[in-house]
Amino acid sequence: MDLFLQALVNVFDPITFLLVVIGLTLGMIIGALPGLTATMGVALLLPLTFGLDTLSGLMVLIAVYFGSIYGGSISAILLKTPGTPASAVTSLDGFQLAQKGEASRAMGISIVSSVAGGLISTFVLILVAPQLAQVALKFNAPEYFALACFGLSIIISLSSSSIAKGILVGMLGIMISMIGIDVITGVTRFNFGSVNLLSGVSFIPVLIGIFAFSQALTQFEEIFSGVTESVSVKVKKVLPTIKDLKTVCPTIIRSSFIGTFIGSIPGTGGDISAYIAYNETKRWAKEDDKATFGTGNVKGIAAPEAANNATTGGAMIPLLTLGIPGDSVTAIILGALVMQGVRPGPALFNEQKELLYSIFSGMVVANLLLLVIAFLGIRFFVKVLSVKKEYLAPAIMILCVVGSFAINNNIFDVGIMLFMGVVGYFLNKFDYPQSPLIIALILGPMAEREFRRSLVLSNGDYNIFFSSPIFLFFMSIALLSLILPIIKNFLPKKQ
Amino acid sequence: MKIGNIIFSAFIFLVGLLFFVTALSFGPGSSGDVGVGFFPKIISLFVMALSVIIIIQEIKKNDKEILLTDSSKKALVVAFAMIVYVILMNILGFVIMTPVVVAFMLYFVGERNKSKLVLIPVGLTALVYVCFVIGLNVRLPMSFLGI
Repeated sequence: MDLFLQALVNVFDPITFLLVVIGLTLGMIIGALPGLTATMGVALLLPLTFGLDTLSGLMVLIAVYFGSIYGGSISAILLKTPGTPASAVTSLDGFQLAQKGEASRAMGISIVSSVAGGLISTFVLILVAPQLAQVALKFNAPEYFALACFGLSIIISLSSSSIAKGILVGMLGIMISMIGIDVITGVTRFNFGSVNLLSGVSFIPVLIGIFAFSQALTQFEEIFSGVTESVSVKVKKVLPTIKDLKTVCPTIIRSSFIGTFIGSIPGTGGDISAYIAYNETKRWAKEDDKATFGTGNVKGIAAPEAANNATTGGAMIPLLTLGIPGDSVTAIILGALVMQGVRPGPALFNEQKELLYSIFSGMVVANLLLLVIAFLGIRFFVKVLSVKKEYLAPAIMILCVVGSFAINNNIFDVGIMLFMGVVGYFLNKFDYPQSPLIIALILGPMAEREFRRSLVLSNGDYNIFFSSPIFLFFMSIALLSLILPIIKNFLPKKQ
Repeated sequence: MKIGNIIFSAFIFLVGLLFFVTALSFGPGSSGDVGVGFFPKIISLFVMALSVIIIIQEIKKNDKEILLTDSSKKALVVAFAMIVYVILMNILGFVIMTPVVVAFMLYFVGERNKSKLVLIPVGLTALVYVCFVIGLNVRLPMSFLGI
């Protein structure tokens, strides 16, 4: 209990608190604008957090994460264009309700559901993570190798329509991560004579290039092809009625647990959990209620919104306990932690208890603040939707350059960012998923390091892997998740 | 998008080949370690195999062959402008080059209002300067003029 009190004191430090408010607001703006995703927002803001202390820096990123996952629903409801992929399902019923002139009601439900989802998942995180960390403390090199493979295979199989493309992008990420000094032997490899590559490719320029610069290029493309949206809805009273709250309460609770659970599986994300929660809610609904889904049912808004915000807490579980990111945003947060000198993993729960509990409390506070800011500022966030892409895209590009330069004050990093941005643009264009690349940048080196460390430990005996049940368990799931979709392709299709 | 995809996959194949050939020269590991080259070799073999699979898949498709649409060509012009901007920024400095490139981008997307073409680039540069240079102590490239 003392720990939580101390943690709360840390979170209510005026500067940290203010930064959380700023982070949430920026996150909501980023989330609301179609084309700017949560990942992009967190990637662009990451360089800004270097100067801050560990907790403040992390809390800004977490606040942006929470804010943008919620913010996506604003444009999903008003424009039928989800601001983030996680809100795609929200537009099904949200937009229909808005069309009936009840945009404010839809927004109110979405705010309450998002906050409830975020809070429930944070509490699950607080309860589950320490237990899981105790188990993970027993993990050794072979288990970590299996976990890394598991995380990689899940993200590849879920993020792409083509398994070949998903694996290829993941492998490219691993190749980028191999440039530089080998951790086991200290030998430099793949620097191709370049001094700048001696210490490897920095994570953040790659990230900003893939998730922000490439997106800005896609926005330019959309401007040139004449795709524009406009919003003309007036939002008034957004506080939901007691009757509505009673209707959606069971939906929110169920969806929050679904979201937390799915979020905790490495590689999944808000879009998948929102989709599953929506389907489950529909399945649980009474017959006459079922027919109204897709025509503006409030439960159809509550389910995806509770689930996608619940994913945030869920995704933090593997990040903090195992050092494995749950999705691309938590991959960036992992990068931020490492840069601050904190290595996430089970040891964190013994060595850095205060920081950990400050993060937990910060997440609760951030969710509550989200409620306040969203209700107070909803009209402002609706106005943000009318900002023209023509002004936004150049600004993002400048921020990409400044952000990637700021890390090491090095123009070479900016070059990496530009190169990866163009590569990311083509990946996007040719239907390659981007998130496996980022996850592979983190899990690839982990897989190689732990694989080789295992063999050094066993003096070259491969039995060290096969004698570990945990290794066999995770490896089987990893293999299944890659092979099943391929087998499915060869099976006769259902008519 | 058939041709574009094939060219892209071929490029990835070459990158894989480069890594594979480079990894061949790495020595073996000692005391149980599989060595520096073990993982790179496996990964680059996968990369080469997968890019060949994707190329074959693409050849089988009977899509329309558009290499790049007009709007994506224009987007690449913007990317090129950004590359030139970064090179020149290193010589002429952030404060001078940023308004220039932002004004170019605005003009390129069709903004013709003169006051907007001046105010938005200057305003954006000022905002970034205040946030990063004054607020966060980032040392952005300066020109010989000292700005």
